[in-house]
Amino acid sequence: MRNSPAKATSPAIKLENVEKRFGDHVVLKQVSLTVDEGQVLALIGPSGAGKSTLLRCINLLERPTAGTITVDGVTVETDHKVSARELAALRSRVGMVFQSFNLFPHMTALRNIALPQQRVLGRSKEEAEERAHTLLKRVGLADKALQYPGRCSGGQQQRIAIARALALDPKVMLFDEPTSALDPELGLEVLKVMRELADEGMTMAIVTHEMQFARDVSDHLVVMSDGAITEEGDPQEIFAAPQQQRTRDFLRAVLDRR
Amino acid sequence: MNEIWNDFMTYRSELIDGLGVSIRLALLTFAIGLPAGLLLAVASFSRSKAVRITAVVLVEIGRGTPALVMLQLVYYGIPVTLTGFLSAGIALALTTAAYTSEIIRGGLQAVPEAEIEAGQALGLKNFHIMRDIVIPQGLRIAIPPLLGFCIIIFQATSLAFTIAVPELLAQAKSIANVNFHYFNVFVIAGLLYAVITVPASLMTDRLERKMSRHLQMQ
Amino acid sequence: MTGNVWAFVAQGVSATAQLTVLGFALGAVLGLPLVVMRAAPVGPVRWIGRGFIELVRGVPLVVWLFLIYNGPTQFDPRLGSVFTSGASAIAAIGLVSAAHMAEIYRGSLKAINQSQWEAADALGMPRLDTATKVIGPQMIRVAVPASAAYAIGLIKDSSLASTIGVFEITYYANTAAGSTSSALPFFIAGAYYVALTIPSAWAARRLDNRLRRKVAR
Repeated sequence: MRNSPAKATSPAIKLENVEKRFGDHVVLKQVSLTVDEGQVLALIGPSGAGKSTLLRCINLLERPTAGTITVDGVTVETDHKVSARELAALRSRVGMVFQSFNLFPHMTALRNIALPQQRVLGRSKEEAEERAHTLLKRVGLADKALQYPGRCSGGQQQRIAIARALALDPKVMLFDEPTSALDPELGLEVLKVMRELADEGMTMAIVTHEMQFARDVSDHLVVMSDGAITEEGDPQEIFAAPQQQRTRDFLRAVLDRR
Repeated sequence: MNEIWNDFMTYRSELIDGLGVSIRLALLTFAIGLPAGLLLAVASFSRSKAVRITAVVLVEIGRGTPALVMLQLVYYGIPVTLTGFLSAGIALALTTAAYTSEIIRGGLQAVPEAEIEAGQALGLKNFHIMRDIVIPQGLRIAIPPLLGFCIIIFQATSLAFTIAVPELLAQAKSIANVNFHYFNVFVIAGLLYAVITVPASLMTDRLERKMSRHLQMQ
Repeated sequence: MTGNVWAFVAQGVSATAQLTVLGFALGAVLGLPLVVMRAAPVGPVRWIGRGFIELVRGVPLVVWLFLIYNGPTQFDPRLGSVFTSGASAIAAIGLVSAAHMAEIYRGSLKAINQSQWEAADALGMPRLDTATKVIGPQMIRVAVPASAAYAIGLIKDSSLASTIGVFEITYYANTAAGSTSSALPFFIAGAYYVALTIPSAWAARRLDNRLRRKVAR
């Protein structure tokens, strides 16, 4: 557990009754949850539980069919058409890291990080690239600035992707299975960067299969199955003594494998 | 063989002039047709249904109409009097735009959806996602087939003889009509086209192989 | 008047269809020996195959038309009655199609997994059997979409035959345009070409779907 500074907690992310359906198929059933500022939320559960969909609803990459999303004071009602202005306001507050990194392969690491700053925040090229260099140093890749993503390892690409998201000064960071596509040793270097980020007080929501990491780093654990939250609370307590049968089944299945 | 060479030496200045006109006509065609093709390709991704439908209809008409018919249409159909050269350039550019828009569209579609999503998550506007991420990569993917199509269009400039543009085939025809050496003169004309198209096509093949190796590496 | 022009130009539709079908059939057949040469293990044979294909594709169809139609008369004017405009047009279209079809066949050969040759070898199948029973049918199946697209393109390319006097769609449009001095006949010609293309594209897609179901890949 990390030592959170004692500060007035206000919700950085608040989801109210978020629902997502494809035709008759309901992927998310009226999910509500809150992440306070500076908190780290870990989302775990069997595949197909709707974790990634829920995460992608937070920055509206997935449009919920109903419900309200609030990020850093910006509230979006999703049951009517979301305006471009609302969408921009929401996305400017949310950084996202994907399972498959999704760097732009035709740009160097530096340009990957600088370009969005220029386009979204209107920073000058010099300013954006200076910031990019600073962030690359921070994720331990100062020497990779002029390298193309195709020439970097998966772990390096993912750290570049984290730097790219951080460069836009988001209020919250979303991680969608950030280490699932990586060999374990490469995953470690990514987890290390994420842990540092958490220690610095970044608000984070993480979908992960890394149970150890979820237990050690998160402040709040949400277990999902079948598009709903089965259990949530203190990670240590849930791992030690899960209250729900479904959580027990899930934890036994994943922990037995190791 | 000797006789063909003699005919070439006798008429070489007319024939080379004709080849020059063919090349200039091809360049004019590319200068108008390729940007128009890109525009049509981008329009086919528009969020406005009217824009999309217009683009599709233009492309289908452009691809469905033979280049030869397009030439006559532009030359006789446009009320303003244009030179044969300009009419031919416009007509071939229309055909080029229709075909290349499909090639470019294929290239744009080959850019992974995940990258577009990453751009959205970063808060980039659709315009910027298109301009900075999709178009640069999509065009790169489309380069080999575009070059291949440019070779076809260079060949199609030979149709401009039908509207009295003094390009290579027109020169060959008028020479053959004087000396009746039809076989020799058309063989020479064919070889002059091949001198441009065959090396161009070999280079395109090589580029394509090189690029597909490069893509596999990533 | 307009109605007359539609009917007048329509006289060329059947010639356009014949040029396309016969030219394509010739090309589809002649493309087979060409692709065998092009993929031959013997260097010189392969080079001749490749050189022939590149040269045929590198020269515009309309030049082949003039060469085949007018060329022989340089040696003996009576050859003009052998190389009629129709026969010359089919020969020229067939020649150019053969080169393109050989390349399409080659592309589909490459798409078939090399391991199938090995598997057949391991089973002790004679190479000729492997070629005709295993690889050949798959090659044709894989070649269908590209071949169909090429054949549909030929509908339009056959318009060039009008320049050596084959009475097809564009020829009639030209004649009508000359007598009415308007561009309308060319619009009508364009409409006929589009009208021929659309059902062909539809039929090709159906054929492709049908084969796809039969040969699950």
